[in-house]
Amino acid sequence: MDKPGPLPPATFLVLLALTGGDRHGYGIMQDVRKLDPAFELGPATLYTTIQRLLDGEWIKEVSGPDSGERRRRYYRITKDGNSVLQAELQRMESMVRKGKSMRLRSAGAAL
Amino acid sequence: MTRLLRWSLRAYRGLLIVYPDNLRRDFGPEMLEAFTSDLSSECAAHGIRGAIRVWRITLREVIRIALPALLRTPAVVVSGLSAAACFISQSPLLIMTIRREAQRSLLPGDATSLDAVLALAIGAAITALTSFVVVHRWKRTNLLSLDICHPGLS
Repeated sequence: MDKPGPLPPATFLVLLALTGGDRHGYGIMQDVRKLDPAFELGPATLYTTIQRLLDGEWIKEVSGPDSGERRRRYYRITKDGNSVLQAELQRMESMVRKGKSMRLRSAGAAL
Repeated sequence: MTRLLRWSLRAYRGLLIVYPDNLRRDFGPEMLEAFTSDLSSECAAHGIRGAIRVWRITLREVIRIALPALLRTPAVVVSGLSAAACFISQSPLLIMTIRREAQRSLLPGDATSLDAVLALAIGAAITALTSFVVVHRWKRTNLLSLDICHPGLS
């Protein structure tokens, strides 16, 4: 993950979910559902995304509060991941601003 | 746990075979756990509609993630090529048999032609089945080595 261009929706939502704190896989799924109910995230998409994010070191694996529980791994957003997310949020804000100004301009032209 | 949940977990566990090796090796048990938790909560909240939703998402993932990766694996490519080779090599024999039968009598030898078609179909089916078993065993060996299990499935 060298170039942080526009992020795929799953990547963006997983990173966003992890800004709320360390989460395990299913916890991320639940948070993503709350963040964007229209986005349907299944286990394969989730773990493919997690795998890519781990490879790119945008998230890292950490020991969770219930680390005694078998097979439950927790994930934490890294500094790099946070920077990428911030950049993506700024990009989206800029797009929304542009979109709104274009709509206002076209509405003004119609009048 | 209801019968639907048990059946779904078994089916999903079997379905993990089609996912890419590295994904299954690194996250197979977690995928199963996430699916189990999701299905349980969806069933509790929405009943059968919740289960249908979870399965719809799962099957879409199989088509979007698992199948493209599976079609890139050498074993599947080899299986497909062997089945195609079987079909191509046997087809001329079939055509020759049918033509010979047609020349031999006024009424084409329907029975013999049918036998030839059946022989080709059976040959292709055996090749496809053998390829499938080889791939399936190869995949299943890897899957079992993961020690994927769930309390509800034992």
